[in-house]
Amino acid sequence: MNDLEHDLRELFEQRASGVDAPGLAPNDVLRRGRRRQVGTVVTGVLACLVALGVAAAAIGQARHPNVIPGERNGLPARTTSIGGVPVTAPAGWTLVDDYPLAAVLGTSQQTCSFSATGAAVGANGSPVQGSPSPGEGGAAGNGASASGQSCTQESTSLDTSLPFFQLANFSLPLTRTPCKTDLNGPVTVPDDGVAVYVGLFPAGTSRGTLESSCASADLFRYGEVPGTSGAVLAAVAIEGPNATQNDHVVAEDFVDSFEPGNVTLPRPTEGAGPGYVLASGSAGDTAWRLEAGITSLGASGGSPRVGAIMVTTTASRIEARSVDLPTQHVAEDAVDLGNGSVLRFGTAAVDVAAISIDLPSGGAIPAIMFPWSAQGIPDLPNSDDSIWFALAPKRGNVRATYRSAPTGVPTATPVTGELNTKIRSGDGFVVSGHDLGHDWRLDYSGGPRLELFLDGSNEPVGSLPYLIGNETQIDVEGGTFLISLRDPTVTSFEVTTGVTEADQQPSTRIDGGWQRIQDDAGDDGRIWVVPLPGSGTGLEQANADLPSFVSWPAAPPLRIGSMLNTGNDGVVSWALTWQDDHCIILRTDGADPGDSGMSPCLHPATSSKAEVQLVDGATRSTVALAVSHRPPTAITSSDLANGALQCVDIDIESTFAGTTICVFPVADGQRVAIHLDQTGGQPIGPVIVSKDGLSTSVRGSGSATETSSAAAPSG
Amino acid sequence: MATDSPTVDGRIRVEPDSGTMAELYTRYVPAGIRLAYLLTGDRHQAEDLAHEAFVRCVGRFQHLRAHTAFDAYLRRAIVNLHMSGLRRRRTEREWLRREGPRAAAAVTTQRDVGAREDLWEALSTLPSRQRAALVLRYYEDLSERDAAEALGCSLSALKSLVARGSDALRASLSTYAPEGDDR
Repeated sequence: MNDLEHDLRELFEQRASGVDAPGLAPNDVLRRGRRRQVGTVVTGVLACLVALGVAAAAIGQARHPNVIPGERNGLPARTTSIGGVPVTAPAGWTLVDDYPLAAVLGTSQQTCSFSATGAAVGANGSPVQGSPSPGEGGAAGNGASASGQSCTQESTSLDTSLPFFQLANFSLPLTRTPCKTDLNGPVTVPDDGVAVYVGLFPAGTSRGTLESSCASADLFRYGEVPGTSGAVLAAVAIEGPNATQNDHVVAEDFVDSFEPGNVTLPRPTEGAGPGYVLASGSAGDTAWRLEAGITSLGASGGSPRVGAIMVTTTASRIEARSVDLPTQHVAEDAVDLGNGSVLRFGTAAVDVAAISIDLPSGGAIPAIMFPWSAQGIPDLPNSDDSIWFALAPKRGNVRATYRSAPTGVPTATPVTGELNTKIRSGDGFVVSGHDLGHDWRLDYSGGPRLELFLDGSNEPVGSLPYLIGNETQIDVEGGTFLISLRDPTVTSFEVTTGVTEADQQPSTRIDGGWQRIQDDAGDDGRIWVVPLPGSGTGLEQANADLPSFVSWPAAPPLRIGSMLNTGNDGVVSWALTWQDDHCIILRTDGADPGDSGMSPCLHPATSSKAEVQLVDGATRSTVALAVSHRPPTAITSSDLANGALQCVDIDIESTFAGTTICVFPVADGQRVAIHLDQTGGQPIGPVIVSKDGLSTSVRGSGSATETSSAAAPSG
Repeated sequence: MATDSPTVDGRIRVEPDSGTMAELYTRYVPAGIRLAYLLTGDRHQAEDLAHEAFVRCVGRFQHLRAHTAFDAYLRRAIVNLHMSGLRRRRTEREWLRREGPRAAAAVTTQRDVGAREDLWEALSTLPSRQRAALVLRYYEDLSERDAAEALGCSLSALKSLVARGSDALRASLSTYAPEGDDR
């Protein structure tokens, strides 16, 4: 122990002992701990973050009525049926599906008000035993009930109306309509605007009521809905003073075709809220529509969430499945349409440029993506997320393509430069690219680690601490990603492949792509990403510094050229490379080319005999010493500076198992004695290596050789 | 001593019991405060840091595979919080400088006038990671590997931090003659 280390230990002890730490936990700390623990157990940190993000989105949606996905984005014409009412939205028009509100309002008031047959239905949608149907007389007509479970269909307590859907040639918010409803106040129709409102009004609603409910309404068509005891379903068109004739005709055609007497009210889907209809279609006997909207109202607890909703309708049932806006990458779901086709849909994060469905038989079906235009929503982490769908003959695999710039590629004409990066609100960022046959992304979400994801997966394939100085290799199919966090002085970072004879490919330089960062400790630097194809060996080099050996893949099994240990002494870099079960080779790469080379085979040591091989360089020799560590052997030298003796235990299944290999430099004119103190075994004398000019001698106890490489026999 | 409930998915789950937490606090937090003090040089900041780390560790305790490792998690959390709070504290220091000695006196600790004051002052000038590396090695007496783990860096990075920190201290204090090249 040197003086400084000794003084530091004493200083730390002295200072720390002077700290008067409370022995008992303060109550406020216990309270905070308890809150944190309960919160973590119940929801999990990630779930909290997701909920907060989507809640902010949903709340922001309500507060910012201009946030309309699909607005003026060239949506195609969509034909669907909402609340039992067929509707076709012309291309570019906004169509809002409000019918899910019927489940919420109906649940809190009169569930069976919307039953197609008038039979009461329970929460699970099954008919309630004993409830009267319209055909059974009085109960349905006068609201009397035979039992406590029967419905009182005529006594809907809607003060104004329940919206089914809205069709407009302008932006409409999800939570407002042109008419008075039980939601919010009516939205103002622009001068050139045309809107059609379809909703259920209380029994007895007259044209005068409709006029007062829907100001500036020009066209009306309304009537009682069968089985609702007089509830009035109305279609009302409201037009601005400067509406075009074409738009007027759209509204007029709809109102003219509207037949409330023919409407059969379906059971509304539960859980989801209103949504914008983005696309629609049918396959076999299933009609479907894709919506962007509120995936959960949070009525039964939790916060509202937003995302994609797929509504499918058959003759017997209507079903809605939803996928929330993703926290990262791609989120997806599938609906089997039953005719040999599968409807894939979901959401995609901001950096996803395209999605396709890769089919098992080959080929791919491109997905259609709709931007979720969310600018202006405060606190929304991803403001440019997308909603997508694809109709595929098979389920296949969802593949995402990220907005990226190429990083290094394994060619002789490397591509370098700044990596594509997206900064998230808060601390996070995403660096992405396409290499080694993968769409990859390095994701930093504010935690202690930087994580690598591939091909839209939500499971990281590897990570490293987000601190300058860290480096890792992550093996993937097709090669290995070398990721290094370097200080800002590093302006070039590359790997030159093919340093061993085992490499099949000719030597190639692969330049790293980079991005400026500030790490977890606040230090500036750069992320470097080098895609290393297949398997191989190489020298990595930052700026013009001394290169370091590297081999990949990092994971076993061993291959010829696999590096068991690497290091440098500031002047020479070295690597112990696997050749075969009886041979490990020491390779060196020196600042002075005369120090570069490779040693003869280093053979396994025995408990009574150490082995030595070396690269006899121009300015120094680099020596590899193999010693058995069965029994344990202390390997020390007073001739070497701290850290100059670098050792690795080899425990891989081979004849080298149980061997420790140490590497150390011997400068010209230097004599280094290595002491081997075996615990309980046969004593092994010191190994002495001396370099004098062009000659390096190795001496073991009781023997001496004058050679550039030698075995050191036991004493 | 924490009471372990049955394992869930191979993980030990600790119920949110304040008695258990109080025991954990008594057992581990005082040492955490001392560590935080050596990292920050400020007694009040050290207490806040250790308490925040304790709250976070307790909150995540059901994820620990063995609560006997609580001290290691707490140590890691203290170091991480110290590091991640650097930017904010940098800003605070700027504020203190602007506000002058009156404001500064309100938050700095009483100075220890004992021996090695010069070494203590020199330590305060080190980059925080170097200082943390020295504290983990020479106060916590961690192995290089464990210290690297606590700092969230590689073994070589840890060695480099210790070496650079030591060199900087030697360079700033005439009492310590620089050592020879140890690399």
